[in-house]
Amino acid sequence: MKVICNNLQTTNRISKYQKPIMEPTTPTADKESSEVEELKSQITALKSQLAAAKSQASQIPPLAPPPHLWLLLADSALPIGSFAFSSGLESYISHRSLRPVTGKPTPKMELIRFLRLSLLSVSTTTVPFIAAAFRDPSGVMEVDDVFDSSTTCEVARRASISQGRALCSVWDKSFAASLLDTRGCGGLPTGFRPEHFGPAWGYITRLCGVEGTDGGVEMVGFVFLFNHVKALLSAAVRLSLIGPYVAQQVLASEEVVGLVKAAVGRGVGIPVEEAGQSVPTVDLWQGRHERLYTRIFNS
Amino acid sequence: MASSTTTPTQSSSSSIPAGDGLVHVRVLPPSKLTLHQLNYKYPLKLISPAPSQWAKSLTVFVLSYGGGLVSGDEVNLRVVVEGEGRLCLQTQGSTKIFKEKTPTTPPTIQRMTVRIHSGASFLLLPDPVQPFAESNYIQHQIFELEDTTSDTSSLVVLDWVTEGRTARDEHWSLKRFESRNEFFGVTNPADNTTERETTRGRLLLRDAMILDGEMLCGDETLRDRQDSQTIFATVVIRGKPFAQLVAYIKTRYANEPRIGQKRWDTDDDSRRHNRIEVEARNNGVLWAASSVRGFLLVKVSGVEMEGVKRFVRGLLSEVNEDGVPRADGCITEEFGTGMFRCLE
Repeated sequence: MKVICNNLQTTNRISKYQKPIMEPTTPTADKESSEVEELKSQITALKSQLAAAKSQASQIPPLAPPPHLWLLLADSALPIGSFAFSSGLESYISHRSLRPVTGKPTPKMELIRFLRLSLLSVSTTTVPFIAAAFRDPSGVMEVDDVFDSSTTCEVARRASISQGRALCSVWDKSFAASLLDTRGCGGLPTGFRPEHFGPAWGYITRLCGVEGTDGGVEMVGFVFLFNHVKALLSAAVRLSLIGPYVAQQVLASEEVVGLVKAAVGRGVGIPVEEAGQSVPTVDLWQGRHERLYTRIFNS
Repeated sequence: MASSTTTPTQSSSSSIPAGDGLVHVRVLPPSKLTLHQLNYKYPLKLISPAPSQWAKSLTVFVLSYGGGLVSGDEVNLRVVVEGEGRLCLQTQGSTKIFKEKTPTTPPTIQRMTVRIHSGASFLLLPDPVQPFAESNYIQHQIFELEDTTSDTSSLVVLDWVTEGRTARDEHWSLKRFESRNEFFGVTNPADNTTERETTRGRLLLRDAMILDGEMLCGDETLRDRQDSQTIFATVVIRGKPFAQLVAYIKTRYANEPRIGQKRWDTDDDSRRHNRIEVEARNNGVLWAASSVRGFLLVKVSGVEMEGVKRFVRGLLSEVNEDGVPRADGCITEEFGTGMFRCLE
């Protein structure tokens, strides 16, 4: 929008500048009519620019929903218990002695590596289902069932179901009352309660009022993965891999933003039927979480 | 179950499209296992050794001419196992996937659809797929189970992939690899004569692995991402006849030495654990088992082929603590001996 406004101003400036040059060369009698002509042509030019800007504006995803909603969804205090899960990080670190490691990676390097692998894995396993549930909320239960059949790691299933159910409870007990009052749901079916985190995220965010556009689905995916990174970093702090300052440093880094964006871009383009595990070792680490001698996380 | 040499309508028929094949197992009264149909067309080849008089099952070898598939090759195999039928599909050596000729040639595709009737049992125990450098491969296997309520449609499926030709320094140098195993129920089992896709019911389980060799994750290539693992295997088991096998695997997984701060091999607590688990771990084998929607799913990875082979063989033949296979192990009981050729 800003760019378009600037353009308009520039055109105005040019025409003002042009007028004095033209004045002395035109006789006074013709002056008025020529000025009228010029203004008319300016008006038509501006009108066409306005039309172009309007059509462009309709393509730009609307800025709604307000930041308020995004802040709610990205809130660490959202009571869905994400921080009880490490998505395989704890197991990955515990398997250090059993994994052939080259060089001597620092705990921070290991964390960043896991972060990359985890985001890649989630982008091809979960994000397609978020996108599908978001795009077609009426088909969410089928998407949820397919996700259930496609998530073959027992530990990952438990983590996903626990957070999915919790998210639906948050909707029922908190968001529905405050968000549905102010605006209807635009005819969206509000009665479904998907079990798994991914499909529930796509569905509930849509109910919360995020527009069902490409921009909307990307933003919803971004917030989901950003929350995933936050949960991983929080787990890393509690596993004493890094301190809280380094955690924020990683979270604020350009690399993490880039990774999350790339993961969203990759994931929303994958149809549900083509989703699958792209980092097979993640399944093993996460699956073996149950076999840890001591553990502080549920996954 | 007695069966004698069968005379199926075995042909390399010219009326079917290239790469297509059909294996149809039927049991004739009183209990004679027969290959009702066996058709195939280049580049697919199917061989069925005549079963011995007391064979409990039929074995069909799935081969490709030249022992591998080139880019653009497309294999479509349909398998039907009728009630009380026992069929084991094997290969004779790894399935080599050659490199993509040009960037525009289509990928190598292998599709298989298996219909398992009530009371029928199916084994898929092939050698691993070996994707060479720059290969582009899609494998899609669909299993349709007619009886999922009392679980008499049973199966054991092994799907595994190796890193390529190590002798030529290929380590996950493939371009793309996709493997999908889908297990469906059947909505209208009464209509089993047509075996149309329309009777395919609810998706019960989908296990999919997608390896993208062209993508970098940070600065990590596919090889880096695989964490020195050279082989990944998935085993899926379902059905009443394999209940004992499933219980055996679950127990073994429950008895896995714990991974902790203390080293497992010097840890007093873990000395009591199975020698075979310790051996497996020494061989760099990592595994996990999960029960999902009526299936048992086992994932295994390892740093070297032999270790993983021995481990999977041990698992499927239900070896005891000394590594001796159980005499009445499920697979031997149901199918007879010689089922583990690809694991030897």
